[in-house]
Amino acid sequence: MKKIIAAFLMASSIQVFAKADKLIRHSKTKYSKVVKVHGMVCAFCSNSLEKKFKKKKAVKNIDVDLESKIINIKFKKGKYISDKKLKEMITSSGFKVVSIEDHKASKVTKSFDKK
Amino acid sequence: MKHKLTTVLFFILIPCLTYGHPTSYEGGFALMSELHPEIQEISMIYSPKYWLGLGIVTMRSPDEFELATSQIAWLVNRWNLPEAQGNFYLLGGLGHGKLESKGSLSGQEGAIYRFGAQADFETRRIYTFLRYVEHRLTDRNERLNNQLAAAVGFAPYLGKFDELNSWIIFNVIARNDLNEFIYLPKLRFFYKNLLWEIGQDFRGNSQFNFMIRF
Repeated sequence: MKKIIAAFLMASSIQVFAKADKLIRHSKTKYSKVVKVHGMVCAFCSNSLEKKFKKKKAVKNIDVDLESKIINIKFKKGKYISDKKLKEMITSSGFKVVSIEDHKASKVTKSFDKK
Repeated sequence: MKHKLTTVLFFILIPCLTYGHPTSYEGGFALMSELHPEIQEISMIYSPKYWLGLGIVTMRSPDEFELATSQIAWLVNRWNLPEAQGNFYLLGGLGHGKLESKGSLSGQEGAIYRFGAQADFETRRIYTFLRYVEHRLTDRNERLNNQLAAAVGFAPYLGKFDELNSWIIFNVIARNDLNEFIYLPKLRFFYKNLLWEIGQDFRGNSQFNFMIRF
């Protein structure tokens, strides 16, 4: 019985430490995500995206580039919005998300383009 | 006859393009006004979803008609393409209207309903728009008025997101209560959440349109 309790506590503590480590790492990092969007051709219509993201506490700044159809979302220190939530925010504004790129890692973390 | 045929062909052949998405962004409002000596229109729209616009529309044509209706705009389909966007909407609503002059219907007023459709297609360089709206008296099911509007436009430069964007647009409007078409070249500007248009039709009447999204 003691062994089972000890194993359970050990497993729990590892999980707690892992989460804490993740939080510490997040708090030291500045994230930004680059989102490729289809349908973003008009500054007046795309204005809704800027409005929506600026309401979010995690967002420090947002740059919309109509030429490359890219939104660059910069987050405050230690904060970010998940890819799933980002996609939901953009599609609910009436645009199509093609890909989301972690700017720091410089790799495509998720692609939504159906080929 | 030839003149009218040319104009009808113009309506059919041009793709769709002018302004006025009848919806706003999710949770957003849009206030629009269209001021022309022949017709004045003011509408206020709220969008609970980006594909749905709920609002009110008031329209007045001096000595012809005046009306106020609710408006439901449903974005049936949106095509989000790499370099373009296209939209197709259905429009409807109920309200009250009054006809100032039109033969046997002169002086008629009462409950009305509106229906119509709108389509637009735009890239960063070109813009097309086509809209048909009709208002009918509910009790007699007779037409109070209808309007077909089409527009084509182009951007002389590719404005950035946070810059003043400018468009040159040619608008053609056909109405049942007018014997001739309204040809309306105009300039459109937008900056952030403000859009405004100024133009003058071929008969010298000026037009000013304004739209704000908030």
